[in-house]
Amino acid sequence: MSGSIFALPVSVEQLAAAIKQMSQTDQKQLLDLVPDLRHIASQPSSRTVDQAQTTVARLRAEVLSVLKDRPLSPDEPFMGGLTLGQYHALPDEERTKLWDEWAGTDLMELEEKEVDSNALSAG
Amino acid sequence: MHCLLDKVTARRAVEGLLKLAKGRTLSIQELFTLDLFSRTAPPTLRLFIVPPTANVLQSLAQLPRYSAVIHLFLNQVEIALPTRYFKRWARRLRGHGFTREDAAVLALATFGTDENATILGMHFVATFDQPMINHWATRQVAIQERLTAMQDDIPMPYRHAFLPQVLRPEHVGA
Repeated sequence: MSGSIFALPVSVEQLAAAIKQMSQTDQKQLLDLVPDLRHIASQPSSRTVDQAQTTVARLRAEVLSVLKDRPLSPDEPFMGGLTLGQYHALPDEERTKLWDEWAGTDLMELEEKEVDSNALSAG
Repeated sequence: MHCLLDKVTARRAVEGLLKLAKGRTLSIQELFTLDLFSRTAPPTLRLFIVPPTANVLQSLAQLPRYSAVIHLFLNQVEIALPTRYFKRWARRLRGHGFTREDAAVLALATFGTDENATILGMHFVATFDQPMINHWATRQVAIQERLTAMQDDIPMPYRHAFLPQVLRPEHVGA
């Protein structure tokens, strides 16, 4: 049975066109018959590693350019009496703690600001 | 679109930039955060950081060898500032089971603005905190009801405040 369905000369685009012609009731029934569609629709789309690597390759060139092609050394003095290499070698929890110490501000203690009466809402 | 980077995500971006500056390989989280950073193109997508992160970066930028890289980052992000009702909304969110810090970031994404106070709220919070993403999603209806109830008592433009989408960086604007 399933073999004969896959053998049908119907493209995804043709299926989509047929689905668009359906009533809402039939479309809902289709979702019940193919529950994976609901699951797929609820997943946010994602960037791929390849896409990200392409974008970041350009950024790498930009970083080296602002450093005038003098890359940072792991021995560069960093904050907190550490070298950059030592900082990067710390466990993530330690780095989180250090940033909290260095921040010196609690978000909840900041003064609230009045926005412009015409402020554009994210909604 | 406005996207707020939580503290860890902003740190991933900076640590990633410093790794690029050392010629080292990025972790997957650094890669996706810097991908998002590179896709920033105001006014289509504006990236924001929280004020405590900005403080750290301003200190780091004082060190001459890091200044250029940190300014590369700071020049492309803005600082989100709390607006009126931020603290009230953060307290409400704590009532939904968020930690103090998570509630503050989420509240800033609803009652936060830019330097000129011309916007209200963020479309996205970018975070790698999967438990927070999940908790935000599962409590969404109740949180929206709470915000709607609060909005009955507050003036414009705060009445138009909106809940952000809470997503991993690789899902923002993908």
